[in-house]
Amino acid sequence: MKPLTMVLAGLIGCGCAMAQDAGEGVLQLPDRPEGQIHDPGNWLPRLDAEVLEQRLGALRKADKIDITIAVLPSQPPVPPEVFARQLLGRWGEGDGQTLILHVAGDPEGPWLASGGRMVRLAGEVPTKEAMVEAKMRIEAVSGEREQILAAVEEMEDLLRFLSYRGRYYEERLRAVQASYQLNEMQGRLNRRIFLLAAVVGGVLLLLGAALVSVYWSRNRAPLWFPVTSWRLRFGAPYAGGNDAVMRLGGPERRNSLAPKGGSDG
Amino acid sequence: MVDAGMKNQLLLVLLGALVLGCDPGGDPEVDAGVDAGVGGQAILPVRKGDIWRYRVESTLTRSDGGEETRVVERVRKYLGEVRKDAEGQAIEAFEIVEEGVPIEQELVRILPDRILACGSLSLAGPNLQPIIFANPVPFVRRGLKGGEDLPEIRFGQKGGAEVVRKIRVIGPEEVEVKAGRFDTIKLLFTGQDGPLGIRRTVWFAEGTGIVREEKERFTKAGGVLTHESHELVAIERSGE
Repeated sequence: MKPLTMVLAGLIGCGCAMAQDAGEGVLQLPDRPEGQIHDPGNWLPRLDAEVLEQRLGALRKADKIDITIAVLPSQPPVPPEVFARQLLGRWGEGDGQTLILHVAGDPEGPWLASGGRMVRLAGEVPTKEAMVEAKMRIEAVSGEREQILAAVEEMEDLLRFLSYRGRYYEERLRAVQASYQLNEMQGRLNRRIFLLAAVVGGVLLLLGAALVSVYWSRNRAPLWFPVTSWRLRFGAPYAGGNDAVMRLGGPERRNSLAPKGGSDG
Repeated sequence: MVDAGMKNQLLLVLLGALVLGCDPGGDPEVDAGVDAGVGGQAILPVRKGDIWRYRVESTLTRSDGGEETRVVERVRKYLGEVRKDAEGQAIEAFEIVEEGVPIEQELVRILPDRILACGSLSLAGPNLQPIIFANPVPFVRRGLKGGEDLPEIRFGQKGGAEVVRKIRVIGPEEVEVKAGRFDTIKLLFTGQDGPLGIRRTVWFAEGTGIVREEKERFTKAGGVLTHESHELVAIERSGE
């Protein structure tokens, strides 16, 4: 990295860190709990907390779905939905994340915030629609504890659904990419085959032309019978055909090609 | 500066936009090929007289806010073909018998690779007509994947209220019930029966049928009215 880029990156990084520190200073975001539940006031019944810890821990391990529950003893300094998003941003891990925020004694809750790669990939609209449906059912349940349990159930189903949907889209994307690459490769191969065929065809054409040319040029040259020796056979007084020449041409030249001093007699 | 990872993410998002318009749910008419699966076993082998026994725990919220819980047995019996639809296709039925509840029939069409929901019939009165869907909708089919939406069920009720069911495939899940341990696919049905909200979760095991079911009816103003929890206890195959 160039020195100037390093300086700029450092300044931007410092700025971000300072802004984050300032924000967290106001919000006083707690650290992520070791398990899945942040309940400093032990508001949740112990048995519920144990069952939920086990269930959500298994879900996180098996499906990379991270559902965390935060129970606050009093109202946070910012609106609970904002606080829930901030907490999710700090705590969230895994492909699918949800934070269920409950403020003890507040009938408006629980507040839900979701995120994660698979949830983003599944799309904003189906996620929002599903969240609205889930919220409606959670609100129908009476009792704060029951609402938290309903929220866990709803969010578990929703995140599993969205995670599988995200995975499905990812598979589809990979298939589209693979198909695109295959088409590209096929196109390149086809172009190479065409080029090779053109070169081979051209060479063959040239070779053929050369052969035809040679053939024609050879056929256009005079054709000579081989020179033969002659002798008198059986004491005959004459012989024929010695030094005969044939030429494919007009009859007017025949005489000029006839051997001079022939002894046809 | 955009690093390679971020570039891949951006590419993924861009390509995502190309395919996000496509519903992952397969078109039932397109891939309706008859496939009996590995070993030639149908998705739900049935014979007339087959019986599934369930333990049902239902909680009813009374108007005074109190709750009433009861545990009963529910029997689902396969009746075979009971009628034909407008196109002359066979409609089969499961009869649902539960103490204190009018007998119901679930109207279905069982194909080697899928089960289509065709409607229902309540035998609460003598002159009741069955509800038959104009187009049967897939209840479950082989090869369902988590994250799929199945086609919505929508039909009018006699009183005028519209019944809507949205079906989501949540994903595969191993379930242990009294009848044993099963590899299932979890389906979530949500919707409205007029003012009532419905949430029904079904765990379906290929070759076995429904092994677990949770059903909840609620209103926005009145809260949860009923909650039912079904668990498969035993299957009795006819002729065995």
